[in-house]
Amino acid sequence: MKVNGETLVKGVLTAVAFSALASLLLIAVFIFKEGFPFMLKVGFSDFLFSSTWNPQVGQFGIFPMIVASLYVTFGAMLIGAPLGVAGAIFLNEFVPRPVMRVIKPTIELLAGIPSVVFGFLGVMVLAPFIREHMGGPGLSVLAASVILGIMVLPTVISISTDAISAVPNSYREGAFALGATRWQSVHMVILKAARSGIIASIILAMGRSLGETMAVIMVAGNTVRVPHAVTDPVRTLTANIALEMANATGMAREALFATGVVLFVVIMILNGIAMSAMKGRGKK
Amino acid sequence: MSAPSDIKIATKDFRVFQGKEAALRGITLDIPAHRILGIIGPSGSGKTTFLRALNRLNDLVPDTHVEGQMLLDGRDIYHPAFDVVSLRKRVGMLFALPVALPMSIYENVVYGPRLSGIRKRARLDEIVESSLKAAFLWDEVKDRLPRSALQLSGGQQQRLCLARVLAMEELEVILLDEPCSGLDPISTAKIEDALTVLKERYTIILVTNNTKQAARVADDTAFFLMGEMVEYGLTEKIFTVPDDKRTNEYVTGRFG
Amino acid sequence: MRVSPKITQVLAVTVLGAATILTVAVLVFVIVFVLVKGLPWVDWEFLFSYPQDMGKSGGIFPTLVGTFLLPLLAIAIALPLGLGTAVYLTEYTRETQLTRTLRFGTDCLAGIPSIIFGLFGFIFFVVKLKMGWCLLSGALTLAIMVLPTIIRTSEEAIRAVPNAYREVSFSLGATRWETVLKVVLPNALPGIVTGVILSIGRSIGETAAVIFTAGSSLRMPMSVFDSVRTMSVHFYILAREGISNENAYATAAVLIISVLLVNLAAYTMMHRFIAKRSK
Repeated sequence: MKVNGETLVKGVLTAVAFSALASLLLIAVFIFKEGFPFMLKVGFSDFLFSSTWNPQVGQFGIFPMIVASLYVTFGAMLIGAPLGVAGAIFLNEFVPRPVMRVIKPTIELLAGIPSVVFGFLGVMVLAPFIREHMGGPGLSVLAASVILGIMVLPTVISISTDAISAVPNSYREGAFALGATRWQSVHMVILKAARSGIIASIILAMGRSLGETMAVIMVAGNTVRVPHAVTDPVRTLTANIALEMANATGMAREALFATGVVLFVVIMILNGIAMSAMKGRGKK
Repeated sequence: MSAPSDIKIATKDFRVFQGKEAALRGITLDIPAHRILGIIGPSGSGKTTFLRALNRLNDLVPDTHVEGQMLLDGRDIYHPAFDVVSLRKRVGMLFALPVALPMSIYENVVYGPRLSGIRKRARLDEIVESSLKAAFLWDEVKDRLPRSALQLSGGQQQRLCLARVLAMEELEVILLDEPCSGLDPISTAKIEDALTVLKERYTIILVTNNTKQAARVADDTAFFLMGEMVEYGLTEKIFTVPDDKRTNEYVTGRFG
Repeated sequence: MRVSPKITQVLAVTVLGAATILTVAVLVFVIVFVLVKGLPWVDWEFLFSYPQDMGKSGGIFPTLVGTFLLPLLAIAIALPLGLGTAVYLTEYTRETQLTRTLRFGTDCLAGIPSIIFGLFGFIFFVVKLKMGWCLLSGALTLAIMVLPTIIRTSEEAIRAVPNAYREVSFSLGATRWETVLKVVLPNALPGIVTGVILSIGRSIGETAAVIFTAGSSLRMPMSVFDSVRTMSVHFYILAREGISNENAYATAAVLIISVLLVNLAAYTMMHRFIAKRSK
């Protein structure tokens, strides 16, 4: 009886343990099932590299959206990565422990601010500022990059801090014993030892920027056109899905799922790279 | 040595492998009932492995398997039909470091009885009092049974662990794995006193690094070395006129 | 030309310090700005009255209820699955190819952007299973989204339970499941609760996955098959469609306070847990 109970429990738990993997596969299957046949129909190169997006007349080129997503993500990294990594280094190496114990959780708390709030701030504060000082409509590549750069700060800081504090103290002591200053110990020893963790934090942040939707819709301007200046408005892949989802039917809806497929694949690749970077650290 | 009818535990060419490494290399040993068996030997000699094999705690360690026989009252405890859970209720274990579970003193003691399905409060109260008395702890904790067991001192915690083992109604054998290694002399004395009383009811097997402790409390003593049993006999004999030269060297403190 | 190490040191501290201060300042500004702009419009009436004219005036009561119900229902679905997975991975199996695959699946799921969850939830729950835009569709979608968080935090909490407790429990004749119930889970509870609270916080702030699955009805939900609008969605619609800036700011203020309170709860929970452990 008791033995049977144990077997039953184990059976149930084994089945339950597949829930995450099963969900992942289910999601992948449904997104691909809806989107992949469409890509075959339209043709990969027309879909990926054509610049005209006009679902009403059957033109489905997402090239401007791909470029927009890349620009915006790249811009976000230009802002978020240096600030975040600098913050992580400073908090770990130059700030007394008690201060860090206050600041780090504060930053992590801020990770919970809903993305729509960031987007709204972008609209109310940042976009008018850009419009006045740099021209253009304000809602732009630049605005989206800045907002996303700020949004990923907690991710970058949190994971980089973990990587840096995982560097054994003996490394620091070794550097000091050789007469290094704090900064020398940081850039000659600690950054090398924590490198893979820091890289992982940046790649994860890239994934987050690329996947962010609501904030980007609000600040990027959503014009389907390859941008020529940082003040030009753009529409990202995610924004494209969210904006047209409500009204799309038939081919147009399939096109959105196909956009989802592109996004899914790119983000899986990025996460894969981040995961192997973190694993590499574990082995050392 | 006792008559064969009084044999509680018998092992026949018993071996334990951890991975490909043999931790025990064929132990054949008859353990008589109602006596205290002391197992001595340097660390790595396999004595703890032997002890843990007696209530199959080694099952929990990955890549471990056993060969040979280990009989409790004539039945092989490693036979697939033998119920591990009932085995562990009959064969209780006291660990080297006292591990009080993070719950009240009372709940620690009734952990085993509750698993056996005892629900009546009066019955549980009775068990708590008698077990704590038998572990010489009752007077110190009787007024604070609902308090967290983690507040007790190390010595008290170890006696609580003993009481927790004694609270199991089906208990027949008590295994002790260097139970006093972290304790002060007074706590040690209390545990040892408890053991000499408890052997009236139970069979006790005591693994110890402290040869003097074995000399004080054990009726019989076995000397383990490198996964083998070198010698086994009355404690008096082992400590005065052992047959084996290595035993003599160990008990007189010349190696180990 | 070699700059002396002392000067580079001073330079580095200045630059890094400035970057850190800028970072913290920007993040704090976001919160302060929204609270200053929004709190003056928040009062009991705003919280507990129904919206008028698509939210142009009136309160946010139904969205407050939606914001409360949706994450709770999502957790009710995700917790048994996530906790069960964590117990299986820690207590019932050893490290094998299978567990590595399961963990890989969890990690991948964690990296999927919320718009994809929204897309999936829409096509699967809303369309394929014909559930329509409703509380249940939204909760199921959110449940899948927070599943990795629950699995990871629970797994970590369970691994932190000292092995000695398990050995004691087994040695007293407990089965594996009895040990899990009586020793492992009670001791891992604070960590598990932390994961749950974090998941609730994430669900409250989520918009993309919710708007396509739970819909955006402003009516009070009467069953799990009714559409709901959460505060995040409400705020998004108010802000994006320019319905009312005052109400948008006020909703954002309530939203931010809710999320911060939830995250603060998770944080204190975790710290009490660590403090208790080290005692």
